[in-house]
Amino acid sequence: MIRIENLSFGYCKRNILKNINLSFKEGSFTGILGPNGSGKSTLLKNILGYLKPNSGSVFINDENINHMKRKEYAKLVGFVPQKSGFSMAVSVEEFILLGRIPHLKNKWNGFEKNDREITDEIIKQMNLEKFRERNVLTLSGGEFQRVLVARALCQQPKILLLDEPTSALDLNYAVELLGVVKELSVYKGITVVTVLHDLNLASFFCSDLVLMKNGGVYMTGNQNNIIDSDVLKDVYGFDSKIIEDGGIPYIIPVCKSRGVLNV
Amino acid sequence: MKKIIFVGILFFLVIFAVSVFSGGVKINFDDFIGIFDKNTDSDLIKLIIFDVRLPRIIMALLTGMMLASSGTVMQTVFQNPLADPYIIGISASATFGAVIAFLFNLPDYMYGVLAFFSSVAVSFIIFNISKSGKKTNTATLLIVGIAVSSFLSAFTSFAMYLVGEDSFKIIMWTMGYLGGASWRKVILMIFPLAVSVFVFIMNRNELDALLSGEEEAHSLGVSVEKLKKTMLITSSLTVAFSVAFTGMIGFVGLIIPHIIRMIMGSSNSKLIPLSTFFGGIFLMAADTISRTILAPVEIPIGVVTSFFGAPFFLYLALKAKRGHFDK
Ligand SMILES: Nc1ncnc2c1ncn2[C@@H]1O[C@H](COP(=O)(O)OP(=O)(O)OP(=O)(O)O)[C@@H](O)[C@H]1O
Ligand SMILES: [Mg+2]
Repeated sequence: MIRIENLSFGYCKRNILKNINLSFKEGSFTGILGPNGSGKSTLLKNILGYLKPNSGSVFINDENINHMKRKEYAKLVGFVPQKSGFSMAVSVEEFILLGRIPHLKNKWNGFEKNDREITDEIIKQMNLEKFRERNVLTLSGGEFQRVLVARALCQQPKILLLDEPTSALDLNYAVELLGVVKELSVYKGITVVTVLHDLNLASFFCSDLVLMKNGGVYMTGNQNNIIDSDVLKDVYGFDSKIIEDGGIPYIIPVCKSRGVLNV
Repeated sequence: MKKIIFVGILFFLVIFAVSVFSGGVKINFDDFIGIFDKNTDSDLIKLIIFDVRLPRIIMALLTGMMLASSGTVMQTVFQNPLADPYIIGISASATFGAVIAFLFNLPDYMYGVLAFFSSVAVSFIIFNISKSGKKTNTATLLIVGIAVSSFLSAFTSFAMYLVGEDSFKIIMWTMGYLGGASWRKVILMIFPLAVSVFVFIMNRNELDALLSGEEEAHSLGVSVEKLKKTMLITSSLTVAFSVAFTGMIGFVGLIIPHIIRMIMGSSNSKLIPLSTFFGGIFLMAADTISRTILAPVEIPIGVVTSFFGAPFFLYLALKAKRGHFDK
């Protein structure tokens, strides 16, 4: 579905991404892991076509994304940024409706009944009914993050690119949100690529994992080879203990200065 | 929404009526009725109403609509609530073009055309200079605006010396003056206004997407660069034609969109039509004030709008120091 070939990218002169080769299968749920600053967001923005690689290309269904029309691309790919730049007062409903822009048939007529119905459905699905009329600027961080995901879902994409969609969510909503996304991926065959910092959530939800370090792919695979004390020690530099439940490995960080906790 | 439209129409009718009846020559209700009575001699009254006041009132209305709509859109393009065509120097550059057309004795529609070229050129310069980040930095925007305005005003002042006695016409451009209104000018202004408002409304949803910043607009299928350029060119078109025929009238594009945003939120589907409408009403009122307050002497309309607008600008600038839109 998505194929990245020999992709390198740098901001100004600094090289950030170095020769990345990856592919994501249709219907897969891939977590991108890696320390702060390892280039995860930059990679997503390259897949999005917002940043243009210095060399290499991104293909979707074997078509180079540089040759795709913006509208066509946006019908295919939904994106949730790590941090939204939104700073104007509109209602949650109006905001989510923006996800229908790529599907606008006639710009002058604007959104149609069908667009509003889809928006309604997503608002229900994301449990956002009680915020419908609220000004987005007054939402809490986590509430807004769910609204952002709702907007991306409104695009009815075949591919979802999520940049830390759960960073502001409490564990309940984090699990719920990833659950909704997982269902879409399993039942509707949507391909999900999501940056996650919570390794346990990643281990539980993701079918594939990509571990990044210093702008390169350190390792690909799944929870069985990546959620591993030695690997994580090497990439992140912390000690950990792995436990298993239902065949899924979970990680417990080991605090070197544990002694102080017992004082 | 219905309520605010109703209030708007009410304002419009009242101000329109007051405007028709006030001015240097007093017209009372009997005179007005006289127009429709074949037996009374009402040629003078007719002349005043139909050839002097009506074109002027309508020109005020159109100018207000042009300035407020382009202000609204520029604020979205620059992602900055202080982006008013007057403040960021686009009005000054339109004046520059119009003055050149005047110096070369070109026909009056060319004032608008040259004003258009110079303001497009300048708005792209401003756009490129201030583009460094995703959001246009307020300080950069204002500094560039001041620099451009001063530079081009220097030229305009120079032209005033050059033409000597005839310089009243140029002064009019720098202060905003609706006294030269005519039906011909009304017609010359209607086209650019109609075209721009059409283009603005057409792109209202994409402009909403742009409120999230370039990256998200891009992800929503908007060709950001193309949208911004189209919007800049179109706004320059309206500003240019309004300036060419009525001179520099400041702050309309700042005050009106801001107030509408406070009441109705920032969704461009409502914001663009309402700002346009209320901008027109506002300028009609300002024009009535400029004609009546010292009647029979008339003060330039730019003076009236700046009198209200400048303090408002200061208030906004202090409130939104961080350059954010806020409610
Ligand atoms: N606009 C930019 N200009 C210059 N450097 C940048 C820019 N954006 C990011 N960087 C740098 O690129 C590197 C990778 O950043 P990126 O945002 O991709 O990291 P990340 O893996 O998403 O980190 P995090 O987990 O903190 O979100 C970092 O060193 C960052 O400082
Ligand atoms: Mg990141």
